[in-house]
Amino acid sequence: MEYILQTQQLSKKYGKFNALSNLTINVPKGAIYGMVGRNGAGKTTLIRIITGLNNPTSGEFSLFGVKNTDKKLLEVKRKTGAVVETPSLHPDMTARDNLIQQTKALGISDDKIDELLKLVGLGNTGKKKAKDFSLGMRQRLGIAFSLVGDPEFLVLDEPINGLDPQGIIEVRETIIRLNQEKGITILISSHILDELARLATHYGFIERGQVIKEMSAEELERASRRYVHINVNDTAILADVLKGMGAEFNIISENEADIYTPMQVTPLVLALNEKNCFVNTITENHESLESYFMGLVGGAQNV
Amino acid sequence: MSNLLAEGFRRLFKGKRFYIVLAIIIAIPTFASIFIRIVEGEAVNLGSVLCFSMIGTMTMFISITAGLFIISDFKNNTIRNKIIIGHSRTKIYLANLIIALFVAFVYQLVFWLTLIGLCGTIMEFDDFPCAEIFQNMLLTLAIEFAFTSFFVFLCTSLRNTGGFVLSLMLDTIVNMVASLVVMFVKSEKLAKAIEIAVPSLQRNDFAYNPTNVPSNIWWMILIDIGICIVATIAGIEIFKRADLK
Repeated sequence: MEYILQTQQLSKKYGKFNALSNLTINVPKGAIYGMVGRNGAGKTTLIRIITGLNNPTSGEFSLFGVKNTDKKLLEVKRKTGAVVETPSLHPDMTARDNLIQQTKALGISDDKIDELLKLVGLGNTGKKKAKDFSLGMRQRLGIAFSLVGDPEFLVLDEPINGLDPQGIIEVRETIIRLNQEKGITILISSHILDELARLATHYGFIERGQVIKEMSAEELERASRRYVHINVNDTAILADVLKGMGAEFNIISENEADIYTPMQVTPLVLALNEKNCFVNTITENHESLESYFMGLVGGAQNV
Repeated sequence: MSNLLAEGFRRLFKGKRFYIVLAIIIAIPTFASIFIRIVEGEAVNLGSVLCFSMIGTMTMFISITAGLFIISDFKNNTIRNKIIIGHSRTKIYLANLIIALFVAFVYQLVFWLTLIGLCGTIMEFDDFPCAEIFQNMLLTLAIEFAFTSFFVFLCTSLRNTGGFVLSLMLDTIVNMVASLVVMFVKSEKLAKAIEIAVPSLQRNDFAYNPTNVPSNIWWMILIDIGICIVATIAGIEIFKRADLK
């Protein structure tokens, strides 16, 4: 498999605090690689290191097969675009002027700027300055900024933070379009795990500066537990029946529960019926990315 | 490097600050000339008074434009956009330095041209042109370039408004401290060495006497060039090691 980004034993210390400890990840070419982790897990530190904003304390990484110690890294970085936390914009310039600045820094023509602005839905902003943009508009302009040099690898740190539902949909569609139509490899970190689950083809789970698991979306689907979501008229009776059957379950409300132990539905429904407990609905589901992550890190704190 | 310069100069010329400060630099000799002409009713030798007496103020004007030019790049995090696409920090620093030196040169040149223009019409500049004034002009540029290099060092190293404020006050602080040291130093040789080595004191001999060329002018120019080189090397080394937001 060809990898765009690989890190080996990457570490970063801020004073005595270990932000990254021997972190190793592999981002395959063409993937949308979702980084999942709590606040302070090291996601942004990793992004800052691979974009050149921070220097690693130890370890190394390679981008497009070029090691960070190689002088050629600066050349291959031209094929990279990134939005790190908040978009980096010139507040007193229009969206168009902002993008022209980046074409100057890249030494390329500004022919494609209008096309880019349309792509991110900012084609009609005219003379409005970036400082007067909404958060969503800034975020989209930040993505446009990162796309100016036609990158092959895009790094997006919390790209949907603070966006309204419409903004989230627009950014999501843009990311998918960039990956599928232009073949851009995307490394994305987000706290909104449901949203990440709709995008990512690969995952890296980060905890305390280390990658605790890397897997593809297919592997995650296979690994995540299936469960039956059941709606009944009385979950107290359901709990009694399930205990009798030795099943693992979770009561959600007076009427709803999740059953994790695989079992046949008919005997359960008959057993409930005998105790005047009636089943309204039953659906089979997969464990969410969030639940999987919680199971992996063993607890829920500020995800 | 050329791409960084293109990006930087576009940002400089797109902003209002460069032009506002330039307008103030033109306005100072213009209003002074008009005011004196009205009050005195005749042309006076304003050129000799103003030609070199504004060096301290000029460093402040340079720091407003060049200092804020650099600080805003850090404040808005737009410096990231250049690092992410593979520009080396050394080249980014040098591009900022070139732009800052350009600002210093243009501001000083425009000031002198305005002053000479006014002195050719409504005021007078008795001693101009002469070799001594041109030598002092060269020294003035060297002093301002030394200050400008230090502004770039401060703003890039501190990367916050504090760096800009220090730049703004730099001439005043250096002048005050160095003058005090010179006053209390017992050795005449050491006092003289300080006067030669400190850019804020180098102007003392000709600030209000434009034809008086300091006896150690070439040493002073060499020291100013040395300050530019040392500040730049130190600034690049600090910037290369810095973790950015």
